[in-house]
Amino acid sequence: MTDASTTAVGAPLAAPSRLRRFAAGVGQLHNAELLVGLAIIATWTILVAAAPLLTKVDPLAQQITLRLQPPSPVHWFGTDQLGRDVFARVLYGGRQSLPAAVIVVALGFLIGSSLGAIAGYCGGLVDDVVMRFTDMVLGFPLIVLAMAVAAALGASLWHGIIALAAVWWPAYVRVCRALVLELNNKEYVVASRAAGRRPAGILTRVILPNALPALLVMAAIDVGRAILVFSILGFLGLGAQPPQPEWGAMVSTGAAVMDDWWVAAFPALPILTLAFASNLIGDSIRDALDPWVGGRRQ
Amino acid sequence: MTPRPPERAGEPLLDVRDLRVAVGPERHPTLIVRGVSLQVRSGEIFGLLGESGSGKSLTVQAINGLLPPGVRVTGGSVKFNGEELIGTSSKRLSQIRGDRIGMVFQDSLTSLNPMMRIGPQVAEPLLLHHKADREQARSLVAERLRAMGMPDTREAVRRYPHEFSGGMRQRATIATALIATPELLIADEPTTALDVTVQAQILDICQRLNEELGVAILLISHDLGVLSEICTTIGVMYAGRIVHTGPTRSLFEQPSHPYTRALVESMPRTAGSRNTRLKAIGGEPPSPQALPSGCAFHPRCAFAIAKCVEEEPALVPVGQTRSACWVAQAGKLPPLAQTGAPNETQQAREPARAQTQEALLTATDLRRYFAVPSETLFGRDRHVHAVDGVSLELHRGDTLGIVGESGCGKSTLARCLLRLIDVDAGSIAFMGRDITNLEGDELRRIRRHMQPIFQDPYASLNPRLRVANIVAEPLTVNGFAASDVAARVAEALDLVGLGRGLGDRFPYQLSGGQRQRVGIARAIVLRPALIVADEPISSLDLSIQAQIINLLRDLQQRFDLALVFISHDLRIVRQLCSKIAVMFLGKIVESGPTNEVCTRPRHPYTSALLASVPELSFTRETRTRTLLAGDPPSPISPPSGCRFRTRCAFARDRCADVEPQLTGRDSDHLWACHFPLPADDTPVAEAVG
Repeated sequence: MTDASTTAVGAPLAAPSRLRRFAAGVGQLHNAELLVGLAIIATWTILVAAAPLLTKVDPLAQQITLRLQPPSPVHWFGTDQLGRDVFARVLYGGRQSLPAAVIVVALGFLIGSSLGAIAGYCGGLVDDVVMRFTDMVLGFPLIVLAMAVAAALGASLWHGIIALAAVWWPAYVRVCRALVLELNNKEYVVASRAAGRRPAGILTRVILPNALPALLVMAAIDVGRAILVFSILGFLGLGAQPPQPEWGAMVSTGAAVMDDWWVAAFPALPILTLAFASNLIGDSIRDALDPWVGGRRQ
Repeated sequence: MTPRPPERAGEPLLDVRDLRVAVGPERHPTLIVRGVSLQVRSGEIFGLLGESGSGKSLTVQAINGLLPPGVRVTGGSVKFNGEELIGTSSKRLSQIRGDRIGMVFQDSLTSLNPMMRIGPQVAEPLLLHHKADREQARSLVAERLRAMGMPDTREAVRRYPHEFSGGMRQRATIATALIATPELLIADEPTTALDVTVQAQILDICQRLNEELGVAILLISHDLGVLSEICTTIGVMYAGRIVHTGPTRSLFEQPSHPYTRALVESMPRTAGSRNTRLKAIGGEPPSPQALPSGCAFHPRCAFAIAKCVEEEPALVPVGQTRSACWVAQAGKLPPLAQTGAPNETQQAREPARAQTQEALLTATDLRRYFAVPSETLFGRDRHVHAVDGVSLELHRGDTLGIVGESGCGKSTLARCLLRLIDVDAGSIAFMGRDITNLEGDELRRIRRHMQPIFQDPYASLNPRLRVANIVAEPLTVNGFAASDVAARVAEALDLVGLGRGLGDRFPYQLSGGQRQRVGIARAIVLRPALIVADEPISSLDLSIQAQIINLLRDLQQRFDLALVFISHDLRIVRQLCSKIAVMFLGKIVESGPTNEVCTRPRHPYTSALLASVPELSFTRETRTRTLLAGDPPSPISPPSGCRFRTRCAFARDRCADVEPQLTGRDSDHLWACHFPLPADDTPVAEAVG
C-alpha cells in the first residue's frame, strides 16, 4: 500500500457510468461527431509534423518569376505574391500555429486553475481579490486586450504567445473556483478532513484530482479557439513575423490579392477545419457528461 | 360526464397476466419483469413490495403505458375493467390515464409542473377530460384539497409548487390524481421522500380515500411497515417475479416464502429489544443480467434444497397465500420463531458502568446558526437555528441515538461534534480536553480518535481512489508506515466483511451495501474512540440495512466504541442504541435510556413519532394513531415559547409564552414540556405493547 494518490491513474471521471457509455459509444462508431473531430485534428497534426517528408520545397524559397500561380500538379496549392509554394507554407505554418495555440492554452490553464483553486479553497479576502482582478481582465474584449499587450511588447511570435496567455486564463479561474467550491462540500472531502489531512493536502490530493477531468476537457476544446485567435493576431501582424509562415499572417497577405483566391483560402482551411473540429469534440464530450442530453440519446 | 361502463361482476378492476418487460437489444433482451400476474379488485388496496431493482416500478409503468424509452413489454396482458391496455392506442391510454387511473409518484417536486399554480394544476385532469367547467372544477379542487388536509385552500390554489413543503406537495399530487374520481389510484413510493409524521398523514389520507370514495389503490413500496398498515392484499416481488402474494395478515404473520420471511425477520421493530441481533439476509439482490438458475432467491435462502437450484417454482397456493417456493410447497418451511424477550441483564449493567467512567464526549449548550439572506433588498439577514442549545454526554461504549425529522438539525449537530464545522456558542470536551477552539495540528491529532460515517455511500467515497486507498487514507495522512498500513487495511476490510479482492476496485464497481462497508472500514481503521454515523443506512435496501446494523453493532461492542447514531427511523435507533435523544427544531426535547423513552414517552412529540412509525401491525382498524397535524414549522422563525406547540394536541397558553427547558426528569430520563404525558398508561405504550 503506497501513498493514496499514486494509484489514481486511469481513474474514471466524476460520472463513471456515463463516461463508460461514452467510451462504448466511441468504440461502436456511434459517436460520429467525435470521430470526425478527432480525425480532422489527427490529419492536420500528422501533415504538419511530417511536413519535411511531404514536400521538398523550402517554404521560404522565393521564385519571383512564378508568383501567383494557380494550383497545379507542381504547386498543389499554387504560389503567393513572392512565388513561394503555398502548400509548403501551409504545412510549415502549422509548426508555428499549432504549438503556439497549445502553449497559450497550457499557460492559461496553469495560471487560471491555480488562481481559481486558491480563490475557491481559501475563500474570504483572497477569493475577493482574485475574483475582482479576474473580473477586471474579463471586462476587456479578449482580442483587444491581447492586441494591446502584444503591441506593447513588440511584434514577434513569442510576444504574441505571451500576450494571448495573459488574457486567456480568466475562464479557467471561474471554472476551477466553481469546481473547488462544489467538491469541497462532497462527503469524501469531508471524510478526508475528518481523517486529519492538512488543508493543502486536501486541495492538491483530493479536490484537484477530481476537478482535473472537467478542466482538461475544457482545455482540449480551447485549443481550437486558441488557433483561431492566434491567427487573428497573426492576421493583424502581431504574431509570427515575415518571412516565417504562419496561418493567420498568410491569410492576411492573401487577402490583399483576393482575385488569386488560393493564396488566402488554403491557409484559412486549417484554421477553419480545426476550429470546427474542436467544436465537434466539445459538443460530444459535453453530451457524454451532461446527464440530460446523454440520457435522451440512450 | 361520460357514463362509466357497468362494473363487471366478479371480475377484478385491474387484471395483469404474465406481464413481461425487457430492456436492451432486440436479439439479447434482458427481462426485468418476468411474468407478473396480479389482480386488484374494486375497493381494494393492493401493496406491491420489492427492493430496488426488483422490477416493481417497471411493472406499474407498463400497466400505465408509461415505460421509459428503450424499455418494452414483450408479453402478457393488462386488462382494466375488461379492456386490454397493452398494445392499445396512445390516444385511448391518455383517455384512461388521469380520468380512470390516477398516478402518484415518489418525487412530488418533479411530478408537479413548477411553472403552474397549484389550483389549475390540480384541476387539469378534469378539464382535459371535459368532465367539468371552470366553476365546477374550482369548487371540486377546493373540496379535494380540503380532504387532503390542506389548510387554507383559497390561498393554496394560488401558490406555486416550490412554495410548499414536500408533504404539502404530495397532498397536491394525490389531489390531482383523484380529482376526476378515478376507479384506480397507482401510487409509486408516495411516502418514501417524506418525514415519518407526514408519511403517517399521507397513509391515513390514502386509507380514508379508499373507504370514502371506494378508490382501489395499487401501492408500491419497499417498506413492509407502510404496506402492512393499510393494504388488504400484498404481492412480494423478487428479481422480476411475484414470489409471494396473499392477504396481508396471513402473508406477514406466517410467511410461506423464505424471502418474505427473511424480510419480516430483518425488520427492526419498535417493540423489539436492542440486544437481539437482527436476522439479516446474506448477499445482495441479483442483477437481471445474471440471474441464478432455478429459484432466483436460492443463493440467499437458508432453506434452499437441490430442486431450488434446478427449477424455478411456480406461484401456487400454500395455506392462505400463494407462494413460489419448492420448500414451502412441500410443507417443509418451519414456523416463524418469536423474537426473544428483552435481555434485562445487559440493560441493567450499562448505566452502572457508565457512572464509573469520566465522560468521553461532553457537549454543553452547543449552538450553530446559518445566515439566510433577507427576503427584501435592504432587510437584515435572518438566521436558521440549526442547533440551538444542545447538551449531551457520552461515555466509552455508549450508543446514543439522535432522532428527528428532516431539518431538525441532527446532521449539523453531528458535524459540530466532530468539529467539521465550527460552533457559534457552547463547548465540546473530548477525551478530557476542550476541543471547541482547537485549530491546525492539534485539531488534526485529535481527529483520529473521532470518525464519521456518512449517509450517502455514493458521495462519501472518492471516485478516483481504489477501495484499499480509500481505507488507507486516514492511516497515510496520520503518518503510519507503509508496511503497517497494508496490514491494517486488510484487517479493516476483513472486519467489515469485504473480501480483500475488493481492495483493487473503484467505488463505482461496488454495490450500495459494499460501498457503505468501505465507509465503515475507513472509519474504524484508526481505531477511534468515537464514531458519529449520520443516517448510515437510510439509502440502502431493506435486506442490506439489517446487515449494516448488525455490522455496526458488532464493531461497536468489539472495540467498545462510543457511537452516535443519527437517524429519522426510531425502529433502527431502538434496535441499536442504549440511549436516545429526540430533536425538534434544533433542540433536544426528550432524552434518556432508549427503553424508558420509547415505552414511556413524556414529550408529546416523541409519542407522536413513535405512533407514526409504520409497523408490522395488521391492526388496520383498531390502531389509534396520534397523528401530528401539518409540517414542522420553519426553523428561520420558530414559534414563540415551545417550538412544538403549533403541532401539539396538548398545547395551552403557557406553551406560547414560556419556552420549556429540559428539566422534567425521572432519573436519567429528561424532557422539555410544561405538560408532559403521564408516565403510565399512555396510548402509545398500548399500541407498541
